[in-house]
Amino acid sequence: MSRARGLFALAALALASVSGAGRAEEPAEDRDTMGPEVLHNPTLERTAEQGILRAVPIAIDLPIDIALRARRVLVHYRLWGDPDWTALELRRSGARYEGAIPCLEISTVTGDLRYYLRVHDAEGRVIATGASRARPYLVTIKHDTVLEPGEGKGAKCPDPADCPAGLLGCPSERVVEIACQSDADCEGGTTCSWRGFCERVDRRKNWFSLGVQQDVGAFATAGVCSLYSQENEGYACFRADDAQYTGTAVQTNTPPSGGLGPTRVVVGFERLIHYDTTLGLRLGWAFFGEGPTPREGTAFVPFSFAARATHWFGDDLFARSGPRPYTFVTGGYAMVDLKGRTVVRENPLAPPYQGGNDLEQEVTVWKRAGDGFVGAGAGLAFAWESRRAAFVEIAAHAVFPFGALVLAPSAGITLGF
Amino acid sequence: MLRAKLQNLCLGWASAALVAGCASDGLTPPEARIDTPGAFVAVEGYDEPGELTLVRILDRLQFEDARLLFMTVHDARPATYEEARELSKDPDLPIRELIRIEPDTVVTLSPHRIVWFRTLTKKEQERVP
Repeated sequence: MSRARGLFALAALALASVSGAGRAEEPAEDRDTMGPEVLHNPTLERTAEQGILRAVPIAIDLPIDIALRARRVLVHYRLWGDPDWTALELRRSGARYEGAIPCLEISTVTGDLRYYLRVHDAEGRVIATGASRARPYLVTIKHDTVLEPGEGKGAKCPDPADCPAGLLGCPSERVVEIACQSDADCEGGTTCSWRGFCERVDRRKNWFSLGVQQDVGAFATAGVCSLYSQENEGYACFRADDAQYTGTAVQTNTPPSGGLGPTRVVVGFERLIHYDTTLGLRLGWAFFGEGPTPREGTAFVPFSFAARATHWFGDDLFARSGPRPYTFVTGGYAMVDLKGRTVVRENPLAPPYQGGNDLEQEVTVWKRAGDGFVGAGAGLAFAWESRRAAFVEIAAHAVFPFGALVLAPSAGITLGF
Repeated sequence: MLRAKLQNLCLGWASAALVAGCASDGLTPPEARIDTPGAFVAVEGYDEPGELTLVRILDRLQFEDARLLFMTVHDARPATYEEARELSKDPDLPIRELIRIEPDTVVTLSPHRIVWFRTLTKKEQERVP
């Protein structure tokens, strides 16, 4: 038996123990997230030697508690001079998993072969490991001429056609996709995709945004200049001489009015919770467009707050650059001052409370709408890189309890982290 | 009460659907009368036969069988009632006589029309002795 085979046998014997002196050398995060190390060997014994053009057999006997949960055992290996790691799946035989790194992969290249093992459960989660990418096992591939007599000289490569990969006794099948449950199950710069496999993509899940929003609104004007409406419904009417209207208005059916509302700077955070869905929060500050506050009226609050859920149209848009259309629902807190105009007809037969009011006069109406709103909208972001995008969007807000219909177009940039 | 509820309902519809027009379109709004303080009245033949004179009612004094009107007489000679109405909208319309006290028959016995209304300011109310 070669030294390599001796090592694997030693590893198998050590399976019953899942803790030991060697574990103190592993990175802390491996212990916390990757489950127990099932192949415990001291670091110095993680080496073996073997000749060229021979498969490297690997076998592992899992402890019963791990074996019951295990669905796949993958061996990740890297040949000398190869920049990439390759994964193979070991075949199961009871609690034992076995396979081999194909001898044609070994070929005639000498140098260190590095490998480690990862045990996945049915959901792709890593539940146990054997060595690690940082501290792998080493098999030094040597030319037959420098091996000790009788060492590492097993059968050489068979014809691949005679022994297809995956069959019992033949080389293991190469694993193209490694199942995962979270990014912690992936390594080497890969992340867990929404399909449940490790992928090498630059997908950012946290997005910060900065934008400017201009509110535009409409509101009903019938009866809004009555004292009741001005005292209780957020309206304020001003005559041409800038005096607040406090006369006795007749109820008329004037058409809705409206115009520009506050201009806000808005910062936001959105979290990608699925490849096409984000949840986010937005905070705003109105720096322009505040209306007058009548005496004893509620002061304008320039802060705004919104939560939103966004659906992105497309297949994994955040993994690449390009256009990103989306739609969203939102709700939150905001005061919206809207300016409009209406005609007030004075009641000549009522006791006059204010002088100088014509039978009919056009007045400026300010509506302080708010403080809550719900709405929906749509927009288009364009990512010139997968992690940087500019966006334009428009939302329609139904504002309550002081009602108004507010459109909120906005534009800005988003950065992914 | 019912009317107020109906008006509120109309407001609600206007607010919700942003539509103009309600059943209350058909209601006639209250109009100023000949003795309503603040009313502008164009009286025919008040100064000269066939001419219109624009007066503004400041106050009234009701007796058992008569009524006195306190009026401001404006320095304007509108040719039509429409012109009188437009002149009345000017808050700086020239005044010929600040206060005149007349029995209401001076107005009611002549052709006349209430052309405009504006609530009296404190200063205008103080013209009445």
